[in-house]
Amino acid sequence: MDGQRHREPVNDAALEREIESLLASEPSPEFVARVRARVSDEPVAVRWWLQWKAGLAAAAIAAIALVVVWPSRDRQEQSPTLVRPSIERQAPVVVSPPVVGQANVTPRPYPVPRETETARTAALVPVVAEEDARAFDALLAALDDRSVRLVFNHESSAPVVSALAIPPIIIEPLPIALEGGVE
Amino acid sequence: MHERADRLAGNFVTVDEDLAREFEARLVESSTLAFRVAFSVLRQREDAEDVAQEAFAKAYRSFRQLRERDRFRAWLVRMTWRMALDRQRANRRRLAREAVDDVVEAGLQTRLEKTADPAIAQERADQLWRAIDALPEKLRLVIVLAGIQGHDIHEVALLLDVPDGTVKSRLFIARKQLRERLSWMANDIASR
Repeated sequence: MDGQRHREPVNDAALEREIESLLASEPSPEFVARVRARVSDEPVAVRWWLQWKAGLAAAAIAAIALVVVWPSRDRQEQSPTLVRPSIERQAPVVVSPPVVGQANVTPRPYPVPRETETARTAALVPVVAEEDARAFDALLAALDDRSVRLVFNHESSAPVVSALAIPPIIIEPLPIALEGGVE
Repeated sequence: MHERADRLAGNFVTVDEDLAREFEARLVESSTLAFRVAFSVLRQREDAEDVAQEAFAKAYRSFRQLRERDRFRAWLVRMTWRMALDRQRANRRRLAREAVDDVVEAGLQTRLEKTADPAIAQERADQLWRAIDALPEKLRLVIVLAGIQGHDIHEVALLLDVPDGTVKSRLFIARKQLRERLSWMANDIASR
């Protein structure tokens, strides 16, 4: 009888009912409990999210710090420009000998300019002889080390330039030739 | 300082608890849906439960993006469907290796309309499953979802993230193809 019924053409409602009955299977009662247990083994979603946020914040801070620090570092690199010693000499500088017991002043080796610095100074026109610059650097290095002390001696005689005696200039009138010459 | 740290930690715990509560609610209301989607492909209770369980575990991992109810259910259905198909393929490969063709049929447990003869009901169920399996995947998913928990067209459209009209037309074509196949199978049996 049922077999006969199934051989008849099926309408939509009957088909729908049949499919529903096919799919009307229930999971076992332990299914939800097993899913809970399975999920409890998983890393907590929010913590992953927070880690991601924390990583992003750290990256942003690092980027900002880089942007702030980089230009100032660039300025520091530009600062050691060549300092030319002044040629003017007002008072003679006397370098006192090093204190007994201290090591002799050994001038630092001339600092080798870095590549960027070299490129930057290449355009400069040298106004001081290389030996003078080197000696000045050595002096500065010694001063930095405090192995050399500067003492200003106001009493020492500086080379005084005596006043120039300029004889008065006498301009005499030129003789005028009247005879047969041009008037 | 410690108070602030405690307050901050407290907020995180609250977020954790909220998420856990929401997930629990989704799990309770969608567990049967996920199971039935998997069962419609696999026809084996244990396999269907395994697949649905894995789908929930995946959903939990990205639950922050799936907190919205409709979004969660749609994602869960699609994920479970794909995972069930993967499992089915793996099962078929395994069965082919073991040369045991009737294992799936033996595990079949369905509640059919009560008939006088269980053998006839079983035969009819087998026919229907075969007809459903023969449908193209898009039509198959629509017919299965429409058959689960009495989903109407709009609910199926939400689950599949397609317009209502698309579901309606797919459902129409799927039913037509199913009717044709079932009639053909019935005639074939009658002619034997």
